Amino acid sequence: MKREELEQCMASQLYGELSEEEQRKLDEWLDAHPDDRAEFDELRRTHALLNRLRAQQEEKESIIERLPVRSRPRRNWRGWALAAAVCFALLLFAGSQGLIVQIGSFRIGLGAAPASPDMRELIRQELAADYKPIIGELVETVDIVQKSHDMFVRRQTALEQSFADLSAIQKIQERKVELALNELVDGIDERLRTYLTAMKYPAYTAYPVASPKYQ
Amino acid sequence: MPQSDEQLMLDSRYGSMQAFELLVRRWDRQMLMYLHRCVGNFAEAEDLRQELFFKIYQKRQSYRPDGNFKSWLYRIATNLVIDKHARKIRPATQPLEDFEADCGASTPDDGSDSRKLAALGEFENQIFAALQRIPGDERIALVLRHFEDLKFKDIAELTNEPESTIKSRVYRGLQSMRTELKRIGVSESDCIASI
Repeated sequence: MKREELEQCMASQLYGELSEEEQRKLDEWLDAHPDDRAEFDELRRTHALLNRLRAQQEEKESIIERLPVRSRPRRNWRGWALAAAVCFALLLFAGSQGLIVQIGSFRIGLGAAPASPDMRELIRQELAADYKPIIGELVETVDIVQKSHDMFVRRQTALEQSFADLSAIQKIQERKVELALNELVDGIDERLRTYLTAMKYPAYTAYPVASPKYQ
Repeated sequence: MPQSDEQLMLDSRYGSMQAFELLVRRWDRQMLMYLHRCVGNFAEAEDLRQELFFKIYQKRQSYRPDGNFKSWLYRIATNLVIDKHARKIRPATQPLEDFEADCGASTPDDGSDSRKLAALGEFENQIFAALQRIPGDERIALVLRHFEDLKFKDIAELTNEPESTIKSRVYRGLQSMRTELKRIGVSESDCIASI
C-alpha cells in the first residue's frame, strides 16, 4: 500500500467511511507494520479528543438551553404608553434619518439614509449587483450608437467627397463641351464667311451664331 | 410538517421574506459556530455570517434546487472563509465563554451547571487554540468532517476538489492537531478530568 493511500484509509476508517475490503487491507497492513500501527493509534487518540470536544460543546448547548430565563415584569398601561411613544419617535426618526431592521443575522436598511456605513456599503453592493446588468446593457447600447454615428459621419464625409469629385468632373466636362462647341461654332462661322464672301455678300461680318453662353 | 430548506429557498426566490427569515433562523447558529471554528474569532465570524446571509439573499434568484441546500450553503460559507481568512494562522483566539456570551446565551446561575460550564470552557479553549494554529486548508477540511459531520464526498463536492485530497487533508489536519496539542500539553486525561 502506498503512503498516500494508507493515510486516506486511516482518515476514512476514523470517520467510518471505509469499505469492508479497504478495512481488511488496512488491518493487514497495520499488523505487518508496527510503526504505522503506533501512528494510527496516536491519530485515533487525537480523533477521540476532538470527539470529546464535540460532545462537550453539545452538552454545553444543552446546559445553556436548560438555564432559567428571567421572566419580565408585567408592564402597566403607562409602560405601554411609553413603548408606543418610543415606537412613534423611532418611526419618525426612521422616516427622516433611516433605520436598520435586523432579522436574525440578516439586516436591511429603511428610510432616507441608513446609519451604519457597513449597511450603506451592503445596500450599495446589492444595488450595484441589481443594476450592473442594466448598466452593462446601456453601456453596450451607447457604444453601438456611438459606432453607428461614427460610421454615418464617415459615410457622409465620403459622400460629400464623391459629390465634390463629381462636381469637379462635371465642370471639366462642361468646359470640354463648351470648348468643343466653340470650336464647332468657329468652324461653321469660318466656313459660312468663306461661303458668303464667295457669294459676294461683302457686308457680311462675323455674327455670333452660337449662343452667347459659348462665346 | 416543516418545510424543507430547498422549498424555503425557492419561496424566498419568489419573494417570500418570511421564508427567507425562517431559513436564516434555522441556519444562523450553526453557521456562526462553523465560521467561528474556521476563523477562531467571534467578531470576524459574525461579520462573515452577515456577509454569508447577504450573499444567500443576493443569490436567491439564481438558486437551483437540483442539489442539497446544506452543501450549497457550506460551499458559499467555505468560499468566504477561504477568500478572507483561511490563509492566516491565528495564534490568539477569543475564549469560548466570550463567544457564548456574545451569542446571547443567558448568564448562568450559581448552581452546578455553572461550574460545569466553566470546566468545559477551559478544555474547549485549549483545543480551540490548537485548531486555530493548524494550516487553513487542513482546518476547514477537519472542521467540515469532524464538527459539521459532512461526508468526504460532500466536502469534495463543495470545495471542488478530489475526495482523496480531502481525506489526505483531514489526515494531515489530525496530525497537525496532535502536534499542537502536545506542544500546549493537552492530553486525553485533561479532557476527562475537566468533566
